[in-house]
Amino acid sequence: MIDSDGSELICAQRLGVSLPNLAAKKRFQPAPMVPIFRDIDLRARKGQCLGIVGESGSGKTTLGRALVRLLRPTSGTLLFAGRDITTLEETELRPIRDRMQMIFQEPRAALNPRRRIDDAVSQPLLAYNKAGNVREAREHAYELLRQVGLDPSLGKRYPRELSGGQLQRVCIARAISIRPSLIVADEIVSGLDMSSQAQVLNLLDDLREKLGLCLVFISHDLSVVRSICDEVIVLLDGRQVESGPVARMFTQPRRRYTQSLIQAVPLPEPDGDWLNDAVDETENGNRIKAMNIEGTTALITGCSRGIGRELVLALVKSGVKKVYATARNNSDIDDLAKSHPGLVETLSLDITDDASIHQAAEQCGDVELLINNAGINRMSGLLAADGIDGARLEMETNYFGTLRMCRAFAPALKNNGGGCIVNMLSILSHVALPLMGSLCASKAAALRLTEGVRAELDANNTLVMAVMPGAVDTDMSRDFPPPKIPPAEVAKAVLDGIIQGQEEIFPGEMASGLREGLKADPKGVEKELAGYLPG
Amino acid sequence: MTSALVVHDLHLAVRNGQVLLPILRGINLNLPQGEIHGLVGESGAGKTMLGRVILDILPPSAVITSGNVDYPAHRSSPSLNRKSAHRRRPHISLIPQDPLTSLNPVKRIGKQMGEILRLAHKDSSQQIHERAKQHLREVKIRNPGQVLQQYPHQLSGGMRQRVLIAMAFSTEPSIIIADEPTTALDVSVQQRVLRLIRDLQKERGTTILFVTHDLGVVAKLCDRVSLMHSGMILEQGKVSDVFQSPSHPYTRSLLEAIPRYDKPREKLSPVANDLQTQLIREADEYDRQRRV
Repeated sequence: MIDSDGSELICAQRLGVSLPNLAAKKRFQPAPMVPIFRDIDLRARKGQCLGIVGESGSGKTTLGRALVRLLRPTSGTLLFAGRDITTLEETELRPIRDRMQMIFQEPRAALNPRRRIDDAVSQPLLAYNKAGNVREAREHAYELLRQVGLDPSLGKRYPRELSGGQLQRVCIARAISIRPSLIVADEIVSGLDMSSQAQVLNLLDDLREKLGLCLVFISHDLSVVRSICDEVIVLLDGRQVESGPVARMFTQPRRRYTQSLIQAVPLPEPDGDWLNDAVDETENGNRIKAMNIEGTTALITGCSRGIGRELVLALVKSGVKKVYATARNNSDIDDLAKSHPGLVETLSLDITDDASIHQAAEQCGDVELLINNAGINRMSGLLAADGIDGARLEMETNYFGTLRMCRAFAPALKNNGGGCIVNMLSILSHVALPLMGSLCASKAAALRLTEGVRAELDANNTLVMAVMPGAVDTDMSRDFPPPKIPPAEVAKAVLDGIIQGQEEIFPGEMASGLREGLKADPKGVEKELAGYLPG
Repeated sequence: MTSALVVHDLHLAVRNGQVLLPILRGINLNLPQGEIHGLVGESGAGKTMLGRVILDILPPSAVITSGNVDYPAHRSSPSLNRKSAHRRRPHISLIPQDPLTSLNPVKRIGKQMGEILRLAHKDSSQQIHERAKQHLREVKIRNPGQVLQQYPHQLSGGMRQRVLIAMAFSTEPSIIIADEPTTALDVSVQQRVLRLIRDLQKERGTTILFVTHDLGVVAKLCDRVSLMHSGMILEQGKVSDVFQSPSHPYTRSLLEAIPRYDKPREKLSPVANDLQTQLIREADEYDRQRRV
């Protein structure tokens, strides 16, 4: 059930719309349904302005139409003034229709070319019985024209005789004529020049204040959104990339996509290099989940040495807000905090201990990036002498430890806008190396765990990444023969992967080589590794 | 540096019944070879009309009352007959505003590009096809063969605009009039398309008159800028100078009207009505003095 305290005028939870794809329809068969958008959460109160931002094709117009129930949502819940209107029929909607209005992008297309302006504005008044007769409605229409800053004498003109800016005001006058509480404005200033744009935006803002309107403002222009909205949600390919208060979104975007949208707005300041930043859309990875590391808060386990330590240093360099560096013994990582005061905070954390994890989760509620790096490797075979207890120990850290951390921090990540979980696995998640067979088993379990968590957190937009390096030059693989990659290289690959939204990365030649080999000839690789037996 | 385009004291009016309504009032422009010049104004300022004078595609009702347009690098004989624009001005191209209405919806892209290429080259169909492919590759279209077989409605807005840019550059013009080519696109596509125009322009030394109402785009793309209101140029200069220290109150006012994502929320200040009226009054005064 929806967690609405009733103060919202409009509230959507996991809202989705699918429409029939008529282009792919086959004869005598129903057209296949294509999702236009899904899993959209939004809420807006009276007097508030909510911005919906996205490129063309992101589903923002369809979302706007669904909010005023011009379309019926196919999944999720939509509340209007506390009432569930997701699946109401048109006749049931009729009584609340006069409380929601939409203003369309193209005013010339939205107005009947054969009706005079005063006629167009008075139509809703007549349709909803808000005026006794035509004459009364007309008089009211002139009052409305004055209210939107138009000369009432324009009322006798036809739409073709007015400019784009004037027509958009007429549409606004028509929308507010029946005193709705919700207005959805779909790209209403994109066809106007700078000066008329400023006038229309100011008018809308004044009306919102004066009439206590709830405004949903759809636009692809982020500068415009900043100047009028309180809250923003960003859409990409029908998914919610991120949402939040407008000031935070523009100064501290959490997602790379939001950042790239902001940077694509040309500010009126001469700068020849701005054009060189244009990127072609060849990025692989998940554009929706690709994260903006700058300004985030990260927590890393197992920072006393190796990859964990390098990750802390790499994150500090890439402009994070704060890093919680954790290790079993606080004393091992004190130097990290000392060399980066205010930036790195150290924490003693044992991932095999529930109480310790809960305390950390409570203390670090602002985490947006969780890196599960801690793990152990006993360099032991499955049938080796130290038997079942040793295997349990590895499982306890590598699998259950990671699971505990994911469970403990998932709520915080959700609160902070989705974020990212990175699980440090190994290429040995994919293939057994008998030399350390019991490690392989725990890492394979952790890989399935990662995939499961990814699926469960998909709707929250959490990036869940599996990092699978080969042999890394750390204490853990001291006895392992070369080639080994330096831990700093793994750390760099992890950060690059987060920025690109990769769900699986294989840093180093050994890992990528083994992966190719496993794809081509898995049995061959298994046989080759079978030669490395525990001593 | 040699001038590519000189507009000298151009006056243009539109005949409405018995009266001539002035549209352009003494426009002076001098574009050196290889410059991107921004032409900025609100709707109704006369920007598009100026572009049409330069392209020589004026509507029949428009009359040039004085002044002229000159291309020092391409002095051809004045046009005598109303044939296609390309034959009259083979060295000028247009990138239009709306990519959907500027392409013929019932002809494949290949055919439309071929029509233009055939005017410039006497080649076989096969060679024309290859040329068209090459031009599409230059605008970073990855599958040119496929695009040539498609109809305009099958392409996205950004792709259509790329096709039009390819068409504009395909006749190897020395001057291009770009009439709000990115107004219909969203920001990230706009940035890529602008970069494409800039890169092609730099590579070939083309002179571009970039008509727009977006001062942000001008700041990032253009070398110099002219600001127009009611058919007059109010301010002209290097982009860096005009944006740093605008001299005309109208320029200042336009710059203030732009919403900015890097500033906290505040009321916008549209160009004041007083200023608008004053500018219109000045234009009327100008007309009166000319008549005397």
